[in-house]
Amino acid sequence: MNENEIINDIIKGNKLKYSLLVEKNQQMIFRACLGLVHHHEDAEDLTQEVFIKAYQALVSFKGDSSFSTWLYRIAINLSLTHLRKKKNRNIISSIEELFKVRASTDNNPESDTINNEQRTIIEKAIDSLPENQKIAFTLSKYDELKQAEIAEIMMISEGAVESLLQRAKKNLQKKLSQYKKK
Amino acid sequence: MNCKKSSGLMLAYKYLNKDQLNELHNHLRKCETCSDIFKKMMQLEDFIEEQKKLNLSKDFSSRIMEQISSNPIRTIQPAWQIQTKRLLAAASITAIIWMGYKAGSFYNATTDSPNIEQEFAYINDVALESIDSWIME
Repeated sequence: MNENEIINDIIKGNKLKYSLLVEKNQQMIFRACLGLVHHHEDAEDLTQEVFIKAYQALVSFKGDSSFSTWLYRIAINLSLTHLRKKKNRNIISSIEELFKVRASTDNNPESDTINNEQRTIIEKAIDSLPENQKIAFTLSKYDELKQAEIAEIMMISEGAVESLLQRAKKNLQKKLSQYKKK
Repeated sequence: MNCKKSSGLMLAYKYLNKDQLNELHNHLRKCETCSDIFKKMMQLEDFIEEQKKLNLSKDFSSRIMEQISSNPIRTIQPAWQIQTKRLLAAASITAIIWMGYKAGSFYNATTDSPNIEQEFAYINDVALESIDSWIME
């Protein structure tokens, strides 16, 4: 049974089949959200929102692109909206949030390789990228998508994706080198 | 090798051949600034690898299924329905503005009537006297 048949079945009322689509796509959507927001719990909440929103709007899925491409677009939009809202919060709550991030990632035994200060510097460097560069960088690095796939998701040419990735890497190098000078 | 070339090689680190790698590493041994940038770029790679190891909660899928059981799929409204709603909204706003304007006119009519003096003219003294005598009786 292909993806479009599953979707048609769900629209007809067979809700249980949605779990097939969730299980197939959940980890990659989570990684994309994580790449954009860096926070484990926020990324999980956003992934959940993506699947709920996608389900509610399933009728509007035309099948012109693959279901995963459609999910990626929803995930990017929701993650960017989340980041914009977060940016608008006052400094105090941002600091509190930062400590929460630290607390949650500190529980992870894998986090021993990079210390908290280094992690903050890297997060800030990624966050400072312009939105388009950040999206292309996340999809390339976190989800290991090919440039053609990224181009389809972002609705731009492959050449534009390549250019975005180059600029993102250069900007990151520049940002990271600036931290030494401070 | 200068720092500019070193910086370019760092960006393409994964795709360098053996000679280019040697050239870069020789420069990094001599240049502290480039060496620090290289270290940070490697930390960036480690950071991403570390984040990629994070997983969703085990019950994630079942939580989604639980949520959608109470969330229906939204149906798409036909274009004519959307247009009708917009027209009704526009008509309601026009009606509210018109009623507001009319209410203002009613108010003006009671306070600034040009006929008030004429209305008083009908109550002449003779009439008042007759009323007065009627009350006295």
